[in-house]
Amino acid sequence: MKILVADDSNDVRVILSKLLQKWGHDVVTVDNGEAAWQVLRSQPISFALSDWMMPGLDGLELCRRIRAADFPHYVYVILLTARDDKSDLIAGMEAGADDFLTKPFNRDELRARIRAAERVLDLERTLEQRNQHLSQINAKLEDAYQRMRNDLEAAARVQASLLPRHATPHPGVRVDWLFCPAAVVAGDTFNYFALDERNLAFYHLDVAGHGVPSAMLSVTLSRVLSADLKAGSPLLKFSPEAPDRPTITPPHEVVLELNRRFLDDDCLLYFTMVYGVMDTHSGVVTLCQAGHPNPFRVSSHGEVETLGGGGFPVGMLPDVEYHSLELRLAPADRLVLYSDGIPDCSGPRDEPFGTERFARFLAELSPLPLHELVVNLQKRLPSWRGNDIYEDDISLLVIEMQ
Amino acid sequence: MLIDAKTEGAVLVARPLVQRLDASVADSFRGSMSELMAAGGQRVLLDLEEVQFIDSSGLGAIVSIYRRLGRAGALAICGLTSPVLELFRLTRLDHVCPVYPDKAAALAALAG
Repeated sequence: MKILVADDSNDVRVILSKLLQKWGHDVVTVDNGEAAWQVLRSQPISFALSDWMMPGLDGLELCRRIRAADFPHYVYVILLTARDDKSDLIAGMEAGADDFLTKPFNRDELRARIRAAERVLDLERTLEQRNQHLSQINAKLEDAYQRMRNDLEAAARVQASLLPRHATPHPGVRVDWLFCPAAVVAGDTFNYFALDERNLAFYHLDVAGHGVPSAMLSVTLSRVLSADLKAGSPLLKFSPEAPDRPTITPPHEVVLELNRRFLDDDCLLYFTMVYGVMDTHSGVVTLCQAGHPNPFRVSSHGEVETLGGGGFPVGMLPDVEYHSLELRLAPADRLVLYSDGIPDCSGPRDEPFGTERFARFLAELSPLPLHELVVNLQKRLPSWRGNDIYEDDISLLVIEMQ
Repeated sequence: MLIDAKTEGAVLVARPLVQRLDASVADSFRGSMSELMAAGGQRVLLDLEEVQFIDSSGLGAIVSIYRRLGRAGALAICGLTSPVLELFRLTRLDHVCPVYPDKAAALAALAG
């Protein structure tokens, strides 16, 4: 160990140097406090034996400077003193001394105190190494977290790009929607698109769970349920006799096919949905409800009708049956599809927003233009909840007959 | 997750002691139930009387228990609170999983 000896007495410096070197230490000697301070600032020395009384900078002041300095390592200080008065010792400790040795000193006592210093410094070094190790791990974790965060945000942008554009027009209907994901990426997704010049396909679905696996399945589903209507799409039936004139698959058959394709034996990644087809000329809607909240039909006079009687979720159970139901939308009627994030949205004292309150809200806003409904819901839910951080995805798709 | 589990005759009676069976406890619920079933519980009564809310993850966990018991075992469910019953109706699981109005009826069905 390298030891700094600071003492204005030449005799003390010589005796200490000889002893310490004999015990295997490297010794740097100085004859005043200022020189000691310069050595400590320029060399990585962790142990100082300093006289208390020195001209100029004394041992106490040297201790204070060492404690105030931001050295990358601990400096253990033993003050050499002729004083053994209790109040002196307290003053020395308050200045930052670790130990004291009374002059004239006994060599065995000196050796024992140096060993004690070595134990403390060893411990300090071990802790420092562990700290450095932890800091490195922390930096790596921070880095990995940042990368994951960036990836998630990129995934959220992909997901958002799959949603319908507000401006997308379709003759005969007005469509609007609201989407507020709970985590960055969501399990809810929805869309609508033309199957032919007359029929509009639409769906709203909610994949179980939150986060990346759910979001990945919802992206996959939005690819399968897309306007890319080539052979293999479950939305159309292509017959060998008339390959150019496919027919529209009834909604319950579409859902049955999805159940076959996406069956998860562990019931971890299943989904609930409503899939439907609307004849935009007649207003006739055929839809299949699969474990999804009951859609509403809202008339322009504010009458709210709950549609559907339930249905099995998709991808959960093999060999189950699905059914389609049919209704006719009159002009200005709204078909409202939503995920359970809306009725389950909990507000004060954990009270859920609830299906009835949501239905009343839809009725009250029925005279307003469709976009006003969406804008109002976007304000209503955070004011119910007290914040805009949701436990589950919030999404709504409304189709209005013109 | 805390489940009050005991054996009544040949039936494992499991009562989850949570108000919300949701994504935050679903994995642990699955794990605990797996252990109980692996330890010999093949006839299972799931008593949901404490549960006021089940989300999609919780529902997935219950159906996975039903599917796992398959033909070799049997599952009965009782104690459905009204929001939970509503969820079972919406998802038609009341048509698949045997749901009983009370514990005695469920136990009788599992014994028979």
